[in-house]
Amino acid sequence: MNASLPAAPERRGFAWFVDQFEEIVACIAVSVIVFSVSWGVVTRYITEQPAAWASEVATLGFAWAIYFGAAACIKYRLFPTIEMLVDRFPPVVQHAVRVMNHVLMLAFFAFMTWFGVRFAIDTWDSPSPVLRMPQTFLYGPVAFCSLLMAVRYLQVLGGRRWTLDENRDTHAG
Amino acid sequence: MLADWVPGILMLTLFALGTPIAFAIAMSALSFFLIDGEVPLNIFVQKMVTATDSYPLLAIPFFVLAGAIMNRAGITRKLLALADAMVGHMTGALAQMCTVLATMLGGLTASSSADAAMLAKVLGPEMTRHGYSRAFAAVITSCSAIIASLIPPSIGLIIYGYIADASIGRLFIAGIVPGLLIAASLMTVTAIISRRRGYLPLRDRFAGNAEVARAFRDALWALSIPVFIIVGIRYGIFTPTEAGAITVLYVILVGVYAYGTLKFSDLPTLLKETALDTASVMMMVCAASAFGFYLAWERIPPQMAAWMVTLTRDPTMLLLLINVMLIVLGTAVEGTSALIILTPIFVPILTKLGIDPVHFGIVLVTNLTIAGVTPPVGQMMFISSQVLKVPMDDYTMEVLPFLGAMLVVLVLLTVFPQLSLWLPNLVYGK
Repeated sequence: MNASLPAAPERRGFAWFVDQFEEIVACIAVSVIVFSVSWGVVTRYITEQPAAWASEVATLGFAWAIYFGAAACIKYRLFPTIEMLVDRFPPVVQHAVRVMNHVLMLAFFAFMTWFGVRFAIDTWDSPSPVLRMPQTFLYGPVAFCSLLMAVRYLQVLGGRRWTLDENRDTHAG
Repeated sequence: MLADWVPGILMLTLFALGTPIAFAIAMSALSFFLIDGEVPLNIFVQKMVTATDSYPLLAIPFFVLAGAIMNRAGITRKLLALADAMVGHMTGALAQMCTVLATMLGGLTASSSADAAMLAKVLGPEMTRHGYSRAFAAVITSCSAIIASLIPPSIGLIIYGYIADASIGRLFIAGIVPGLLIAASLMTVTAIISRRRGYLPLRDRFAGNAEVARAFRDALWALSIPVFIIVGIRYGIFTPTEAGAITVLYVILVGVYAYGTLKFSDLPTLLKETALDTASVMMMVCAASAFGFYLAWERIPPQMAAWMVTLTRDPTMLLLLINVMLIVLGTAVEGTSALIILTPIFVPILTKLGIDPVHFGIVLVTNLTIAGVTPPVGQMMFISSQVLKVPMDDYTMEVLPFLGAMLVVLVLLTVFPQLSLWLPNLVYGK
């Protein structure tokens, strides 16, 4: 992927929303997780009726945070790779290996999108234990985000560049 | 028979060819479903989502977020002042402060990589300004960050506990003594090197109990967090996951109201960073869940077990052998992915031989986190070297004595399970 391109101009309004869509959803999902788990603890000690929905909402939010976050990770090229061996190959071989990786990644996203959609449709009639929500709400985002990952991957390949603050506060792992 | 091993071989090949690790694991798992033909492909998709349905793993974004909030709120500076009061009079004071700070930060950040970045940014330039070599600064900041993977809370221990089905509460407490041993080993090596090179103290004499007490009081809000987590989990007030959520709310309140250094407008950025970092780790866990299905279906762990007991039946020898293998592996493979792939393979084997999964968890996480500073592939090494602009050759030369000291600790942790198990047994009972 091309890391030496200049940063894209800042976007505003609807263009910004489309550009940052997966981050926005992932941030909301993380907030929902924090709130619902905390609320679960509070209701367990304060009310006689602990919020049974809290853990279900939290795990659903977790799935959304992970898959939308993963689509954003594609934009920022945050998935770790081991380039040690590839860097020692002659340029032609390096290029061939990178092309192979792009094809594999896109094929994988296509597979996940297709099977994710099928699974999301198949699980419409299987409700979750507490909220009785169709499992489609779990598998649907997986399919959508797989498609989004493919789109973002192609955008990055096409030269679109997203950057993170170098002084950011997190580096998980 | 050879077909049984194709996904494993494919995974290693894709790692070597630079495919992103999470997707290399997922594609290899998918190859099993495609080759086998008996297992419906739907199960692959289901397995890719299963890990997201895990309540214990929810602790990961919570502790990442709590650490980020604490850092943004300027807690690091308060802890640094405490570290200065405690060890500022020692030879190589800045490097010693780095290790002390890392030990305290370990109770807040849950992530070695986050600590490496923070230490390198905060103390790295300061060390070079005081005449320390850049490579030394990169090495001490990255090695000190290892402590975060052992002092509770720890992302590595949460992931291990989830995959190995071991108590995360016990694992948290089991990490404390090993974390302190790593800190002691680093401080010993630092003292020896600093004396030889003339890295000076920052103070003429010890700051005095009054200044230490004052700095301690300033940092108390932050320092109380690991205690709050451990006590809460131990007495069943909340689970490790709930502890994470409560910690997030707690640090927001401390940052905004107690210290007055955090603004609510900081939160969207911190939430975004948390979502990104959680996703990059969790995609590996999701892929490993699908890969774990292949391992279980093909009965790879029992086959590996049968092979390993032909080498030795002595549990300690076996653990030492595994350590050697992990050290070699760790030079080339990133720690979290190795942890995710190897835990389901090793735990059944070692449990059968009578090794406590909590003990093994500590050994495994320690080993694979040390791998984060072993060239040529090591995440903390990359982070610190990048911040301080240190070439890998210089880093490699400087890291050797620290690596030696930490490997001694690793051997001690392997041979003496009591070092890990004493404290959890004391707190929880056997």
